[in-house]
Amino acid sequence: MTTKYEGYTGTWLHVDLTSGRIEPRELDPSLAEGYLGGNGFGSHLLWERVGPGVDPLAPENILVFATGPLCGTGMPTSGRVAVVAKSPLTGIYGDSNAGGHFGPELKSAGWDMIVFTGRAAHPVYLHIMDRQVELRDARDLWGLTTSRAEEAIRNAWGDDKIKTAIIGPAGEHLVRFAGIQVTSQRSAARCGLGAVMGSKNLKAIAARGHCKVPLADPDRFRDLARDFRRRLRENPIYPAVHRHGTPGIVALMNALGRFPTKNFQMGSYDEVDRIDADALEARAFVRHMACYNCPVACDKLYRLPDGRYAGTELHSVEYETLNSFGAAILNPDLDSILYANQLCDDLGLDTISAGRVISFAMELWEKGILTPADTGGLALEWGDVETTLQLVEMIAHRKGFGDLLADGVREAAAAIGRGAEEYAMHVKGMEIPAQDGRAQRSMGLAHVTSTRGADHLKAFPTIDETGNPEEARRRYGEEYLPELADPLATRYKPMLVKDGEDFGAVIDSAGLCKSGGTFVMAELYWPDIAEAMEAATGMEMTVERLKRIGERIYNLQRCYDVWHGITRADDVLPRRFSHEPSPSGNAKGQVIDLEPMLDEYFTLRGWDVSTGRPTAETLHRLGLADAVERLNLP
Amino acid sequence: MNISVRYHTPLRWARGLANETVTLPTDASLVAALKHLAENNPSALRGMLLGPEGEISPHLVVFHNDSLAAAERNAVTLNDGDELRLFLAVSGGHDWDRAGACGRKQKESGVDLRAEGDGETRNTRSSG
Repeated sequence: MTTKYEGYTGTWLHVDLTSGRIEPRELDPSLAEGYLGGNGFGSHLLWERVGPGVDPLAPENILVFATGPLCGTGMPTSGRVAVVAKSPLTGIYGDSNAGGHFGPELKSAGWDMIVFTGRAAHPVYLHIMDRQVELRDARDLWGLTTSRAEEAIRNAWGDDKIKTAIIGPAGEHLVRFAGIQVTSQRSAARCGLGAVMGSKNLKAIAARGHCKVPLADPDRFRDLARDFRRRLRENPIYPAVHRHGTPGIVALMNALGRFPTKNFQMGSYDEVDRIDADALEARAFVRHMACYNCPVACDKLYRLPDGRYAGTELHSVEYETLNSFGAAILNPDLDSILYANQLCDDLGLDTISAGRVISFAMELWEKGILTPADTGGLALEWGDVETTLQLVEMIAHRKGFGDLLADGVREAAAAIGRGAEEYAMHVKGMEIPAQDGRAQRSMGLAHVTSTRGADHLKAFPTIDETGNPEEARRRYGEEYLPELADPLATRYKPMLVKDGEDFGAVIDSAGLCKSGGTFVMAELYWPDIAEAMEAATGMEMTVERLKRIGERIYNLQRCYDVWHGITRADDVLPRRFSHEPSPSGNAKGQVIDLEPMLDEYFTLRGWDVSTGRPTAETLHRLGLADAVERLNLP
Repeated sequence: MNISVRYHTPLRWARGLANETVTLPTDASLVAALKHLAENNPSALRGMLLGPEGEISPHLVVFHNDSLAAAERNAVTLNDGDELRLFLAVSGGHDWDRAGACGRKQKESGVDLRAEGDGETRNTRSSG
């Protein structure tokens, strides 16, 4: 079955886990025209089907795995899959995006998307072999770690090329920041979507496909893909990104004062040399790895050759994890960070949130808010590796004090009381990743305007991270310099953030990677993606049209949040960022004042400045008239 | 006067060491210091420090005594005992000279890359 557009398989799967019924459905071309794929599809479906009265862990929540029109093609970095549901961590719009090989495999099996509803009577997994799809009993997989479960599924089918999306014990125990582990060792980690999967008794999806993605203009597409690949390889930062991946920025972020340390009490870690890219490479590097069709290959295989955690082997040690299990808890022991990372992957935990809830608890202990009576006798001292690893296990299995932390810092702080809220570093319930708005103003704004709670990846402002005036000039014009490229300036940052959010919505919906050519390397921009989309799908795609689609997707996500009660009053950073000057690095003495940037941001967005709600005029312009009525906008 | 220089990955690979002390004329500028390093070191390092016209590379990030030297870095004067920390930038950036068919056509046809470009901005087709 095909749609009027190429780049899609033209069919998707609706799986009702309650009845066990699996229905193939035809892709509506208007969905492709309006929302492209990936996050766009998920946003639209969530808006259509899951209202404010639905508990994120109830059968009525949906869980969407969606590819995009560029996913699984010859376009470099086209290995991404989007997962969307209402988030149990935040209670609002939730998404997570993973690389690896699962997305392309799902598409090559002939499916653009899977939408799960309901709850199975017992644990199941979905097995997909091209057009043959069935739910299989997963009772013998329940309780297994993600790596064991993947191994068991592959053994059962005698096929080690099966690609999986799997939850671990954390998802089964409904930990609100449980992630989904995706072949090969990538994670759709944020927003607790692993808990949504667990709530549905869905242990895994296992896919195997043998089809090629149809393209509208294969010759033109091939030329573009070849050109993009060459440009990525020639990008000035390609050698560093390829060699080290995201850990390559640890030392630089530390110098900027943007490397959260001791639960954001500081922005620099004085033992950073022990956990930076050079230390990691010297200690554990084995070889380069790559996601589907990626010339960047930022992924690495690491192995600890000796010591207490000898034999620990994992991919994808990221900047974020070196922070959350390193500087954030004052832990300079690289081996233990790698072990904690592997443990989180196996248990199915988001390493960002897991590290953050532990650093939060350690600060409460330091402040005397938590005592042994609260922790079951555990002493939560900074840098205590053994206790940290113990807590990771306790969180994943919701045991003892870990049960409290398993709900995330916002809920844990509310339960603890006694002033604990002051030290809960989150926005809208999502733990703040490893950036600091005091050291990079655009990132502070991005954390609060993200539609999924604290997040760096929605806007992903890299142009001003260390100052890149050349690219700022090319993209936006001379008139915005020097402020636009200055990380400590606030002027023009709302424009940078809005553009990044809209562009990012397109990239996440197309099936491309942000860490590849689009954001980190800042090589590919609107015209490149518009041309690729046109060559792949056959849709006439102007830059203006693509921008409008990105803006539509982002506005719909905001509408979803507004529908769930979000207003400007929720677009705030924890008090620490506005009242405690950063003590070190380039940001020494800095605090952040979001209000002027938010005023400008809402104005640029066409949202009401006092409430943060999209205006009726904006929504009509974007073809979202139904949102006007649903949100009861004037 | 003497200044200390700390190289961070990947400049460290190119220089072959992590730290060094460099002797410069009194009141030398930051630009002069970088040119001195470029002239006295392997070409791999030179390419990371300076652009093709001998300007400071836009992809070089310099911290002068713990402060980011950004827009004003061409005007920085050094003092004895100062420290420079050198990094490669986090974001790359598009270079029209490196762009292939797609990029050249966009440039030639006047496509406006700017985020707030007005009007109906079209991408170009390789087929014309």
